[in-house]
Amino acid sequence: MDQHHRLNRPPRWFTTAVTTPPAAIALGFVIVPVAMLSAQAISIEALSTTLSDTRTWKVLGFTTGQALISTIATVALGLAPGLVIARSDFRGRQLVLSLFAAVFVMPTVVMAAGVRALLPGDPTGLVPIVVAHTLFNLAIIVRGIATAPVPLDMEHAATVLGARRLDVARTITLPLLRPTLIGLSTVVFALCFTSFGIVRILGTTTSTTLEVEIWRETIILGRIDRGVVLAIVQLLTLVVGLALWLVIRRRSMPHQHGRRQPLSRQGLLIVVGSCLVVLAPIIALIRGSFLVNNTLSLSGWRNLFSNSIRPGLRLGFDPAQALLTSLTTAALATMFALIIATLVVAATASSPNIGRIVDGAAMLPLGISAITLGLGLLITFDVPPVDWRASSFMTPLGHALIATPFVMRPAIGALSALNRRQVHAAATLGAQPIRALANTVVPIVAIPLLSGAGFAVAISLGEFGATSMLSRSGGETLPIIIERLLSRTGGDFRARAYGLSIILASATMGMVIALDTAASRRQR
Amino acid sequence: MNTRILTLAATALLAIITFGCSGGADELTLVTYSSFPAADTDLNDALAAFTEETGITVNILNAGDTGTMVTKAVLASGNPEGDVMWGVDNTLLSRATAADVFEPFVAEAASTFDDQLVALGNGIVTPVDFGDVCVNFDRAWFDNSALEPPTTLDALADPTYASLLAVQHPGTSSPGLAFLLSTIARLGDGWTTYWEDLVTNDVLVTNDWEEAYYGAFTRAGGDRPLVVSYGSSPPFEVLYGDDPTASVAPTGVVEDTCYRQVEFAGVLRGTDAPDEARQLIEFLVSADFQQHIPLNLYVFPVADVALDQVFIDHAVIPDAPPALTPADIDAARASWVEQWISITG
Repeated sequence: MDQHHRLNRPPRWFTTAVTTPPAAIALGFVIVPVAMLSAQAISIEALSTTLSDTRTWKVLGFTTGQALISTIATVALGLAPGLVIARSDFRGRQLVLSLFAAVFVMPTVVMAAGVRALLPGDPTGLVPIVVAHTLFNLAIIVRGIATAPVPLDMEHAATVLGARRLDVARTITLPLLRPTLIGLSTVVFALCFTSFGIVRILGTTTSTTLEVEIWRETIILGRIDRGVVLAIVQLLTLVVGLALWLVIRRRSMPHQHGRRQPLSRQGLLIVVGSCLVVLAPIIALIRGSFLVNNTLSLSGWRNLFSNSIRPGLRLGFDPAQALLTSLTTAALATMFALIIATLVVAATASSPNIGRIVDGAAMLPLGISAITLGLGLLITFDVPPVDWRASSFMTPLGHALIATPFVMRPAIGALSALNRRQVHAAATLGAQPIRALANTVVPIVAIPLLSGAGFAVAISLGEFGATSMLSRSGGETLPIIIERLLSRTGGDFRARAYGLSIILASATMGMVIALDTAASRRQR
Repeated sequence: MNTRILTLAATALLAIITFGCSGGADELTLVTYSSFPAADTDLNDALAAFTEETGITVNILNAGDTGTMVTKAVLASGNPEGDVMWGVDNTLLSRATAADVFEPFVAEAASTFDDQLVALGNGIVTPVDFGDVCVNFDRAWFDNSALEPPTTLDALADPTYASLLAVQHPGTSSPGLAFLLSTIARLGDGWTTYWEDLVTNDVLVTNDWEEAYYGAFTRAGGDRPLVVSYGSSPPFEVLYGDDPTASVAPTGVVEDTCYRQVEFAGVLRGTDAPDEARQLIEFLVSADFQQHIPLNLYVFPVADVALDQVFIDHAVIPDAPPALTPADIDAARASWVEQWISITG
């Protein structure tokens, strides 16, 4: 038995080769920096004050609660459109999928203002936070499910045999989708749990997340030691939460994606409805780009790529150059993320146990406080030959670290739908273990990996996470320019910022459609 | 053989370190906050002229907002990211000096500046610019109402002006903190009662400047005609508004509410080019550089240079509003903010 098992395994050198690079990157660029900062900043005094402060636990409670509610709301809202898009073929399918990714790059301030305007009574706190999180993260669920293998043939068989539609969903579709759903909701939960921008704007003194508290302690009050303690509390909670999640993760039965059907009328309603939800903030952007001090004006668009304010007075940044920088950064980040994610997937495929560790390590950047990580990188890479504090590759690398979980998660979900007997059969029929693995695994993970890469694009173009903590000399990306325009006095600047946000969203859609098309070509 | 490899590695490392440190004389890194233009403004042209004159190239390193910049400098104290820092302000200065971020240096030209500003630098850093955080009012709104715009800080707590003011949270916003400091500097211990009155008067608290100025302010479509912003906001409303030649700015400033923010430049301790760093600071406070500050950084120069007409027409620069020392601010900031939260919360 044991002999048989070993026979089908890829050689040890292969596992080592695919495991080492992602593990080394997680160690060098995530674990060591955070450990260095903790070692330098932490004090017994900070530990005892922070941990004995009831506020810490209240904030932890709110952070967890809002993340849970946001995750449930996002899954509930994203499940139906995701399933419909997964099983239907219709014109504009890729456009719809790219639309969801475009919401991801919306400037946080714009999204937050939109949500407040949308809800009655201009509220702050739990409700607007959950709404904004749901809008932002809907894309993860919808795109994740839409690209997962859905057991259409089994569903069809069940229906033919007389099962009701709800029963089919309950007994076949959902159980088989479970690993994918759990993987995706893990990502959503981690993002909501460590949410910063949205909560900084929509939160209140008590309704706030640990990440905002870490920022308040570290940056506003200069108490780096307390910030680090909070970051550790945040990380530990998330690790415990994710461990619980992994316990309920069960392997799916092997299944394959069936043939897509034409869109039903009901499906059409669901797709259109969900599109309207994600379109709302984009429409608000378009409206804003034509308004200067509440009057209709084209000046925002006319001056979009101009770097001057009036003759003789210049802005000090060039939006066109920033767009180019954003696109190159996104291309590099996506490439990095694809490489790391592919290695993690290969590691999981070749040795599930080792793979799980690498998988967990690659998920870390989602759970670690961006502020803590950014400061950790600052004090880790500060001596030659590794004085990389303002190196140009740090930004794309940082984006890639955040994006990797998005790229690998759906692929690993799909992997659990793989029939391991196929791998064994291929090996038994004489294929080399690596070749057996390649022949069976690659077709299954290629599509989710490529469509996950679309997310890497969106994450990089949206510029969030630890990279905003890195110092930079020149090389501003478009989101930075947008933020700078939004923080200036002058109505024209706001219109320009909104116009540039639309350009950013369009660029995202373009790049995502390109990657999705590449993915569906593979499928054929 | 092991020893040989070790020696080789040590030599290589030494070479790298020596090489890394030997530069510096002809290149300086200026660490600044994110709103400092990296290229393509008159400020950058002035820096290019400095390079031409001295042979020293100035690289601009954007370290994030002022709070982030200072936090990073504290962590990197002694092994800084650059040679000179521009932009640490009087609310954050103590934090930086307490961590020995700077090598003390005051520019010679400082002897001609306002003594009060120079004194705030405590002989460690040189003031480079200043600006005021003040309550702004929407002229059109007051023109259309029976009310006159308020003229004093106290008036804001008067029921006449109920539900008209928007301020920012001092724990999350820099103008918000400045306005809290303004009330403390003016009212002393009475600030807590004053804020209780503001709360009774239905003051609106937002998390940041943008939300207040571009959300709550009547000019942006909100319902608050009074908002905490900058003393330089009105000239910029003219400059960047629909009519850059307007004779009256669409917004005005309540002078009695202003709080002065002063920004400083200093030599970062651990620089390998301290002489050049000092030379750069002298240049940063020279008229050649200072004259370009208002239009590009939205603050006022410390050197005696002519202001653009738009500032003469529309800006308010109160003489020496009450101030707190950087040390006082740093010592009490957290507890003030916590007290403020318990009053407004």
